[in-house]
Amino acid sequence: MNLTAVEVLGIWLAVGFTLAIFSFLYRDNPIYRVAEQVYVGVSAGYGLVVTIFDFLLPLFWEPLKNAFLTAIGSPEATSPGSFVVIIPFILGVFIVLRVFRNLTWLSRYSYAVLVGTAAGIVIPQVTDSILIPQVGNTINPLYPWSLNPEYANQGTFWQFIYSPGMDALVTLVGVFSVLMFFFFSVEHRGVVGGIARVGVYVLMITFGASFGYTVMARVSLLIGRMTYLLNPEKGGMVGAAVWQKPTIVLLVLFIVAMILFALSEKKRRPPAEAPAG
Amino acid sequence: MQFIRRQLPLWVTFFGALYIFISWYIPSSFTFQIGQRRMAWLGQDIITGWSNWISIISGVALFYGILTLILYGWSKVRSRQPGYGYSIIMLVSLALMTALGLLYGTKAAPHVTSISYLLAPGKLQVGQEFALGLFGQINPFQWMYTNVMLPLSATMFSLLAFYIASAAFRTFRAKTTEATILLIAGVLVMLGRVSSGDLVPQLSFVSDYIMNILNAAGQRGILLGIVLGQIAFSVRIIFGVERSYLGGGD
Amino acid sequence: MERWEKLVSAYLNLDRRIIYLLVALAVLIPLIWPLNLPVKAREEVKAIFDTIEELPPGSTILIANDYDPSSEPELYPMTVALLKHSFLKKHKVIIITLWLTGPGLVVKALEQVKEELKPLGVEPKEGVDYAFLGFKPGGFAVILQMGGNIYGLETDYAGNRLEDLPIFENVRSLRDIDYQVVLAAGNTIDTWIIYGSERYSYLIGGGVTGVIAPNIYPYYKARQLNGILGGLRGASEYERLLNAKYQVGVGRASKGMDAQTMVHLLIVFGVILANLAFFVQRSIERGRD
Repeated sequence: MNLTAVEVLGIWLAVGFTLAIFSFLYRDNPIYRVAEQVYVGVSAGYGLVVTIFDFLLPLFWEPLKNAFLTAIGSPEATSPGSFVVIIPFILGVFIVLRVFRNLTWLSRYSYAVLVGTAAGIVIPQVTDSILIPQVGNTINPLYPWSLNPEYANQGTFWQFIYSPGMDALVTLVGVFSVLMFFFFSVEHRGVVGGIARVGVYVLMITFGASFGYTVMARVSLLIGRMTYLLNPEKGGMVGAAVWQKPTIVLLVLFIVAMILFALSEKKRRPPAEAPAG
Repeated sequence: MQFIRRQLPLWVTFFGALYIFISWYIPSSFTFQIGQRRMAWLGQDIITGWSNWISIISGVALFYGILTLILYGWSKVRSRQPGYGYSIIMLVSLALMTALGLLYGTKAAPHVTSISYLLAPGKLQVGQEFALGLFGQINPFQWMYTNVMLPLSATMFSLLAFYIASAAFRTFRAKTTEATILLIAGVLVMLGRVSSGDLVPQLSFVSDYIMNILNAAGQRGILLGIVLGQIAFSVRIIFGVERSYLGGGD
Repeated sequence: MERWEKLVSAYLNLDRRIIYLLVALAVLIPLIWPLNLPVKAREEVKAIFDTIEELPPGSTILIANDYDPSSEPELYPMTVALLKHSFLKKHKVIIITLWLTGPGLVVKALEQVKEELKPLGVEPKEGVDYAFLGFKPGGFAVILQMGGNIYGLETDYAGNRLEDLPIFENVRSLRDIDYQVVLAAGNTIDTWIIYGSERYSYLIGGGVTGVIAPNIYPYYKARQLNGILGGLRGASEYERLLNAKYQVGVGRASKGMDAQTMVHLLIVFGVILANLAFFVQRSIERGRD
């Protein structure tokens, strides 16, 4: 695939920044810190631009402009528009004004609308969408214990374990015991203590599963970056010319730079003297 | 003044929440007429209109984060704090990215953006013709996203793979019954969810059972706990018992 | 005994950089020399694939792309696979993101998918076959807005008014959506279920990072989610299902699964060995006391 000069430059940049971040694994160094700051700056700049184009212009500026054009009877208006958008806009500005200490109180009105009124919808909506269906799915009939045909080719044991009754029983016991563990109004002693104990074990299995999945997720991210380094995007840079091998060239450069950095640091800081006393 | 600063926001919360709460239970809308327009005053259309408000408030609030970042970097540079050079790099990359975005827009190919359109309708802006020649059909803004922001961000988080491996190796010990259960469940899921599970089907069944039944039960317990907490918290907000969300200060 | 003790303590105090190196090798070697280990598709993944497969052509699918470059390796392959599948089935696709730094990935994915589908004679048109709404702020508020009146979002990513786009002619609210897949790296999946699919009653599936995949199993169990794509593995299973049906080739996720297996084996092996070493050390110390 033919690449333009700009695309090649882009791939070199991407590979360079990837290696710059990986250099932190060896130790903290200036190259890593430059890359880190570029990341912060570029992300914030990206966020700013997206906020302007995806939010400020369409959701605030356009309705306001059109409302004004409609009001003066201009044919340029593309929709009726709305002047009301000014109110939430001002409430938003109140939040931005938090950078001034003595105007912080203004943002209380913004939060009253943002968080306060949201409380009004949370109660009915969450009850309706989560509480009732989830509790309902926990209380299932504890029969039949017949073998589950869906697992027919996996042996009798698994068919039994996945039988509807068994599934319902384990789920009921699991959910109930976990809730009992979180229920602190009763002292965890005797029967309650025993149920809470089961709850702890269920939670440990849950956390174990979460741990396994978290490891999986982190490793996947690494695999993603390594795949990129081995074969930078757009047709794969397989070719004889040096400019087609960013990873290897930049890797060598980085190792040299790290060695130089280590040497210069050693020179600047003579061996530490033994602490007095 | 004290009333406006402290009490009134709580009343706004109370009546606002009540208004939304009642509207939630009304399947259609009550409306009235102003000139040409029909406006709703209660019901589903209120929820839609209110959600538009929330969008706008949270949209403007996004500027707050970026503004504090700029002010923080700027104050570091102005007072020449150690490492202020890095803050300069941060500010420069922020400015560069913003400038590119405002000039070339956010689409895959460069186009006349609304911002540049405001400056001179229908014309390519300063630098756009130059960039069209240099970048061809590539938008420099998207180019920066793909080649600078994406590798930096993705690699930054991929470092965690090394840390989690090292942490697991150092701290994952079967010292108590609970820790042993956690360890066994973790190991079984890790083995069952990759190709080892496809080669040894029993591993896959065990991990499926852990995920679909046991994990689901535990997670449901946690979920119900969170949801009940959320509902209780909302009640406390509505009645002004919970005020932390309003922020401190006078 | 002395030598054993030394070996055990040397293993338990292994330099972290050696662990890093081992992890890096476990990733790199299978990527360079693939083992082509098997990956079978699970029920959770098949459910999403079958739903898109069985919907009549021309159905409207909403893809929420709620992630940013920090989880790109896990979720980007899902975006690509889902887009490919939907376009091959001639569905209409609406994409939105609730994450501020997410839109660039959608732009990239659309470019890539269009390029890869061109040789197959599938050329989806913007505004007719698909629309990208860009980023919209407000989380749950955006979902409520879409449920009440989708035109309230005003414009798509390119700045066209939604009323003017043919794809939105029959889509005025979330109620008109046939199927949604949420690709989430955070709790937006809960938000979509609470304020979207449950409120406006439509079918929804979830593709999520490994970190939050276990959290959404209760929804799957209660049929509030019809399927789950969990992490790179889920993406890989989907790619393989798609390739088996349409021969479009597998993507990055499938190529990474061998490395994933190797690293998991390495970590499991290391942890088990470290536990054995730990108990040996403890019994030696107890014996000394």
